[in-house]
Amino acid sequence: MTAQTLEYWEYLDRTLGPDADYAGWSDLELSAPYVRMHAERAKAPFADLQPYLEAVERDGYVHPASQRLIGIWQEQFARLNLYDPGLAINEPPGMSVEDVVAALAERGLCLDHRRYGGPVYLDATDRGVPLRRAVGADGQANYLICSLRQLLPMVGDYDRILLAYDRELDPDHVLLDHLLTAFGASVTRLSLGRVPLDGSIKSSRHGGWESHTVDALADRALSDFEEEAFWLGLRLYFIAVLTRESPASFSPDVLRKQLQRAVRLIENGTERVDDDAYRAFLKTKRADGGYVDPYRLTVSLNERHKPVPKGNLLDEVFLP
Amino acid sequence: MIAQEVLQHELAARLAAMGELGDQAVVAVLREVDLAAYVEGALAFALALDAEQAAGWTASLTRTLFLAGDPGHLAARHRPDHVARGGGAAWFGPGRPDDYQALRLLLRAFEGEAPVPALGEPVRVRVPGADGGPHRRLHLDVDRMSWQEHLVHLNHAVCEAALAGDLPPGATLELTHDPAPEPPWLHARVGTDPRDSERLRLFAALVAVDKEPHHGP
Repeated sequence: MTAQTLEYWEYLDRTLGPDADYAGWSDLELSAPYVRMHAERAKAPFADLQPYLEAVERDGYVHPASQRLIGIWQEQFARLNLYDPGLAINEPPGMSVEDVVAALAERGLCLDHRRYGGPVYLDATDRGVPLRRAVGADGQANYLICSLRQLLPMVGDYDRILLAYDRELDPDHVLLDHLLTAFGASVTRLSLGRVPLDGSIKSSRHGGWESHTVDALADRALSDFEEEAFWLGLRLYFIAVLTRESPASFSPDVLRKQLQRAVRLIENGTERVDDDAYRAFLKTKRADGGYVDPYRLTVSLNERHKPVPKGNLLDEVFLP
Repeated sequence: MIAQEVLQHELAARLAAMGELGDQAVVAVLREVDLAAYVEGALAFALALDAEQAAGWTASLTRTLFLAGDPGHLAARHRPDHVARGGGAAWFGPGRPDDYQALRLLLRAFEGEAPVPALGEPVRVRVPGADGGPHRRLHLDVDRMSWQEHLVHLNHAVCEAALAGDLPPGATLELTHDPAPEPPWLHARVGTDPRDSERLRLFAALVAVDKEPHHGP
C-alpha cells in the first residue's frame, strides 16, 4: 500500500467524515478530493497514516472510496474490452517489509541504516545504479518495497516478469530489474510515456484531465461509431499511432481517423491463414523476451505492402 | 562542566592559527560504523597522506563528506584510497568536492538522527605505523548527540590530531563517550552548542594519559 493512497483515505475521512457513503460517486467525484488534497498541501504526516496501514496489514482493509473506484475501473475495463488482471483481488503480499529487507540484506542488495536513525536503501551500486531510499527512518516503506513484497515471492513461479511503468519512473525500474534479476528472475522492462494533453505532461494530482476520462472518450466515440470500431480504433490510436513514447499530444482528430480506419479494417480485414502460418507470423513479432510484442503486432494492422493475416488478428487478439 | 571562558579561549586560539581556507575535501563512505575499525581507518588514511595533501586538507579544516554506501560495491568504478578493516568504511581524497561528483550522485548523504549510545567500555586502537608509543584518550561528549554529529566530531578530532602530530604512529588511542576533564588538552573541538546558540560546547578533547588507564568505575 503506497503512502499516497493512505494519504487520500486519511484526507477523505478527515474532511468528509468516516461515515461518508461513496457508493454513488463517479470517478470524477472521487478524484476531486485527491486533487484538492494536493492543491491544499493537506497531506497528513506518516504517524496519522499508521492506523490505516495497520488495518491494511492486519485485515486487508480497503477504504470504501477505493472500493468504489475499483468498481468503476472494472466497469471501464469492460467498456474498453480490456482483460481485467484482477483489479478487485485483495490478497496480502507474500512478504512483509522486514522479510524483504532481510532477503535483500542476505544478498548485499540493501543498506540498513535504521540503527543510526537513517533509512534503508536499495543497493545496486555495484551495477552503477544510484543508491535508492526505500524505508524511511520512521518506518515508512515506499512503493518499491511494496512491489518487492509482491514480486519476490513470485520469482520462482514464472518464466518472466514484465515491468510496465511510467517512463518517468525508469531509474526505479532499472533498479527493480537488477534486484529481481539477482533473485533469479528474467525481467523485461516496458517503459511507457504518458500522453501529453495540450503539450504538457502533468501528474494526475494537478487535475486538468477531467474531459479526457475513459467515459468522456467513450461517450464521444460511441455517439458515431459501433462498439467494435471503438475498441479497435482506440488500440490503433494509443498503441500503433502514439507508440510507447507518446511523443504527440492527445488529438481528438487523429483518434477519429483511427476510429474510421477501424471501421474499414473490420469491413476489409478478412485475410486469414491456417494455424501454422498464423503462428509463423506471430513469431516474426516477438520481442527479446520471447513474447509477442503488442506494439509490433498492432502496427502490422497498418501494413499495406506485405501480407498480414488481419482476419486472424482481429478474431483472436483485437476483437475476440 | 568546562567554563565558557576556557572554551572561548580555546576557540579563539584555533581561529587565530587558521590560515587561508583551503578547497579540499575527503569523502568517507559508510556501510556501517564499527568504531574501532572506523577510528583505525581514519587514522591510517590521514597518516598516509603526503605532506602537500595533509597541508591542503588541514587548511580546509579536514572537511569530510559522509556518504552512505557499501565500499565493497564501489571498487570497480571508484577505487577508495583507504578501506577500513572489515570493509565497513572507506575514504577517498583529498580533492576538490567536484572531483567526487559521480560518487555523490551514486551514493546518498549519510543520515543518522538516532542518539549515539554510551559505550560499555572504551574503544581502544593502536595508531598504525609503529609498535609502541604514548597513550592518549579521546573524550567525546555524546550527550544529545546524533550519529551524524558524532561521526563529524570523531572524524575531525581524530584526523586533525593525527595530522598535527598529536597521535603519532604506535600510540594507543582510547575513545570514551563521556565529557572531557579540565585542560590541559592536546587537541580540542569547540563549537556553538547546537541546542543553545548562546553557548559554546566542548565536543571532543584529546588528553595524554600518563599511566595505564584506570578500568571500571
